[in-house]
Order: sequence, then C-alpha cells, then structure tokens
Amino acid sequence: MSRDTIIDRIRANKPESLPLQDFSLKPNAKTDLLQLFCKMVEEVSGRVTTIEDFDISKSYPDSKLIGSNVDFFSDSNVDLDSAPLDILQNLDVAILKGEFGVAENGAIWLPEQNMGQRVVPFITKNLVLVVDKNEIIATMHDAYKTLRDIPGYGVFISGPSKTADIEQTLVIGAQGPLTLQIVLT
Amino acid sequence: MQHPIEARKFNEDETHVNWHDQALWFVRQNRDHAANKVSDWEDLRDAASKIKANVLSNLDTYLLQFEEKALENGIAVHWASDANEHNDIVYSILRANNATKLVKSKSMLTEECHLNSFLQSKGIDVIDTDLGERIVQLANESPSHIVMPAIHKKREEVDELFHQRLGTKRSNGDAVYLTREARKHLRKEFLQADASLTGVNFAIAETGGFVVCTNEGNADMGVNCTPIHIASMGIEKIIPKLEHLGIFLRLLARSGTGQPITSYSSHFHKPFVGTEIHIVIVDNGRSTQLGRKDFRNSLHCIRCGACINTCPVYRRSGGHSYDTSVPGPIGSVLSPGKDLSRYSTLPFASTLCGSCADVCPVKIELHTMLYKWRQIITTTKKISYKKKLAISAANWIFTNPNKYRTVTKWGRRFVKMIPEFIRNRLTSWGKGRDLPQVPKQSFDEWYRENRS
Repeated sequence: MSRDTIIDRIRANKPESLPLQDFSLKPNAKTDLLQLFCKMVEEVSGRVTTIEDFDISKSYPDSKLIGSNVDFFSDSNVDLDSAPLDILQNLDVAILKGEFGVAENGAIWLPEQNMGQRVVPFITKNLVLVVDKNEIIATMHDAYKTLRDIPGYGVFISGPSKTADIEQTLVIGAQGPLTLQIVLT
Repeated sequence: MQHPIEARKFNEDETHVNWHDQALWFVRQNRDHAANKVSDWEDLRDAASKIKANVLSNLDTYLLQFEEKALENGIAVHWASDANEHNDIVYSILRANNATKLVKSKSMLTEECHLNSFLQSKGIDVIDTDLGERIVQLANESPSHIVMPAIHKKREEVDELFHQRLGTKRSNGDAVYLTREARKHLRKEFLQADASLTGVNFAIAETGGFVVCTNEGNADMGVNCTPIHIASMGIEKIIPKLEHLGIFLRLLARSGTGQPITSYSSHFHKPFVGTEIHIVIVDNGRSTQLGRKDFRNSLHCIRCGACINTCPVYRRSGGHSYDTSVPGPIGSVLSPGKDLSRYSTLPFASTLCGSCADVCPVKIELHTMLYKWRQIITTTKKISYKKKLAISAANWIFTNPNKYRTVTKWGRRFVKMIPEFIRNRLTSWGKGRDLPQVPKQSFDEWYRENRS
C-alpha cells in the first residue's frame, strides 16, 4: 500500500529528531489597534464605516438582492441559509457578522456559522462584514489564541478579491466579491 | 533541455525582458517594504525554519497524526507514491461521482504531476480558475511563475487571446475589462462544475485541517459550488500545530507579493453536510529528497515565490527557460534531484549571489545547494568541453601566485589588442558584453610601488 511505502521511506530517510521549541515572539509595541486595523483595511482596498454611517442605498445604489444575518439590518430579501445557487449568483450584497479583526493585516475571521451558506461570502457581488470595534487584536498569533472552537470551515478575509495577473496591473474584484466594506459597531 | 538555449529565446525581445525584469524586481521590493514593517521578521523566519526542520525530522508521525484527525472529521485521505498514482486517484474520485467538469485552483503539485492533460485524455473538462492559470491554459502554455503564472504575457497578448477564445471585444489590453470578462466566464464554469480541486498551502497535524490561500477567491468559489472537493498536497506541507499558522501566514504573502496576507486564508476542517473532501497526500520524490543531507532543507519550501522574484537570472530568462513546474532558484534545487540529466544546466543558471537565500522565509540555503549540485553534476556528468577547458586553465593559473601574477600582467597588456570582433565571439561572456577598461597596474603592483 502506498501509505506504508511512503511512511517507510520517510522513516528510512528522515534526519535526527529536532525538537519543537516554544516560540515566544516579541510582543508588539503599544499601538492603537483600531487605528492600525482601519489603515490596513484601506491598504488592502477595503472600506471602513461605522454602524451609524452605514447606508446601504448609498453604498450599493443598484442592488436588488440583499442578504443579511446581522441584527441591525433587517431589509434583506434573500434567505442566506437556504437560497439556492441560481438565486445566490445574483446576490448583490451580503451583510455578515465577523468575529474579530486583525490589526496587522486588516483581516476579519468569518466562521461558517456566520456565512449562511459557505458560498455566500464569495458569490456575492459586494461583501459587508460587521465587526465589534472592541474585538480588534494585534497579530495572527493573537488570532489563533483567540480562536476557540474551530469551525468546519472558516476564512480570514482581508479586502475584496483581487488579481494582478494581467501584466501586473492590480484589478480589484476577481472571482470573489468586487468590494469589501467593514462596518464597526 | 538546456537553460541557456531556452533563455536565449526569451532574450530575443529585449524590451520585454526589461519589462519582465522590472516587474519582478518591483514585487521583490514590495516584499522588502512589507517585511520591514514587521519588527520581528527575522524571528519569524527563524521560527518557521525551525518548525519545518522539526517537521522533516518527524514527518511520519505528523502525517499519521494528520490522517487520524482528518478521518475523524470526515475527510477522506488518500496516499500517492508518485505522480501517476496521484492522477489515478483524482480520476477515480471523479469517476465515482460521475463528475465530468472539474474546476481547479492553483496547485503546483498538480502541474508537477501533469494532472490536467491526464484528466483531459480521460474526457474530463478541466478549468483552471486562477486568472493567470486560465490565461496560460487558454494559450496552451505552462505557467512561468508559481504565484504569477502569466507574468510572461503582455496585455495585448491576453487581449487577443480572450478575443479569440472567449469572444471579448478588442480592448487594447484593458486589464479591468479583461478581468471582468474572465469573471463572467469563470462564474459560469463554477456553477456548472461537478467537482473542484485545490492545492494545500498548509496541512495541520494537530487538527487534521488544511489552509488554502488565494487572492481571487477562486478556490472557495469552486469548492463551495461543488459537492466534491479534492485537495492535493505534498508530504512536506504539514505543520505541527494550528498556532503555527500565525507564523506562516505572516510570512507567506509578504514574501511572495508584499501583501500583509492574501485576501482569503480558508481553513478547511470538515466537509459541509452532504459534500465530500478528499485529501491526496503525494510523495513523488519528496521522501528521497528527505534522505539527501545536503538538499533536504529544500523541503521547507512554502512555495511563496520570493526566491523567483529576486533571482536576476530568472528575471532575465523567464520561467519557461527552466522547463519545470517550479522555476527559479528553488526549482533549480528540486528538479536535479528528480532528473539529474534533464536538469543539469539549472544549478548553473545562477550567479550564486545568494539573494534567494536572503529572502527565503524558511531560510533554505538555496545558493549553497545550487553550488553543491554543481559539484555533483561536474563529477558525475559530462560538462561541456569548453567549460572543462576554462576550469582547468583557471585552476592552473590560480593555484600558483607567481603564475597568476605573470598571466594577468601579460593579459592586461595584450587583451585590449585583441579586436573586439574576436574577443566578443570567443566566449559566451562576450555576447552583449564588452571588457571593462583594463587598468595599467594590478592592485598588487600599485601597492608594492606605493605602500610597501
């Protein structure tokens, strides 16, 4: 069986065991995490607003299909938990709850229970992630300390989808959402 | 294949070579800007290197732990000794599910295994969904860079290609228009696909999960629109613990493109109800590389692309000159291990400047390995007669200080007398280069006259 062949070959060829150390990396200098987070979101071509300033008709004027699973927004006309793909493919805006933000790279952790269905954060034309401004942590190390239950599927999302595959020209909006807006509560 | 011959073809278009060179150097500089913002960057590299060293020395244990956890979570685990077996496994999964259309996100491993052509020969419609990969797929070419597959293509070429193959309007290479058109085209493919295939950036032994990093969102679109997700991984992609992702995800994108992180870092642990995830764990020569003391650290590689971006030879010869799925410095270290004869010119496609080792996030001593391969190739294979002669001559001159002084003194006198026509034809060094100004004295002579 290939499994056994591979394991045997590895056992025959591997070097002397090198220990796994505990990596204590230098703690970050005191920074305003929220400020850094907002700056990084803009740097990765996302946008930040506050819940007070969030205006869906202004942000997405021509949107017809809107899905949301956050408390403050109830004007949705798509059930994100059950809508089939042929409806979702025309989804203009999805408003989802992010668990926390990472200041060093503007990323938000979105576990599957907050997605409606796994395809929603990718198939939507525009993505809005709602995050509590007190849930901003410094680095990815802190992120993995914060993650309690590992969901079946979860994504760190930093900015909208993008590509530079055509002559290195950055184009915002590739196969995933064209825009990303972070709403801070 | 010979790197110099292929490189010569690439160099026929000097303007394009200059563009290619500058574009990649720009990405290298982006890496520097990003790395400089991380105060503990060198600690991260050190940690990553040590973690990978621990992984390699306990690879069997971690792989078995990973398998156990993945199985517990409902992920199917397959093992493939080589490329053929990998391809057969993927095909059998597709066949078992009556899948005829497969959407793929970037996986250098599947390039290595020549999966696409194999599946296509079996009647499977394979669509590469990363924009760069889709471009080269439509053009019937192979990718020339592991992160930017179509970097060798000019925008006008892409424009013409899309016009011919996708029916787009001619747009003078308008990147935004072409990307939007590709999005429409790929959306149709995602929605009609039966199965999806991704690579694996990191597989976590502790939890049995794995992470896929993309900017385009194409991996997640493919996976979440289809009921079957196949994930191909090399045995070396394992990391011990979930928390180690903190280190690797901070290093990966910054090294490869200068971004703080990719747009999407997708963590897969369990298939969604009613769907399947299959992991194919592939060896294909990696366990042999593990046994090579001088080269085993090349298995640290996280496929970031930093070494490729910085390499002056890659920048000015292009990925196709390497004839491998992974080009550049890391490719030149990995490929001779697989086929010494075919890839014997690759370790020589280097100035040994060491820039690659400088930028490698997992501290692979690439330049040292390239040098070691050269020694193996020179002693076991035929190198060109010209090279043998040049090395013997150099050996004769350099081993004796008096001979050295004499030969170089007369060389300084007479070399400038050789007509340009001859000296630029004598060696390949003369192509596109001329001699610098020859000084009247060597430093040694000047020193004796003036300082001693």
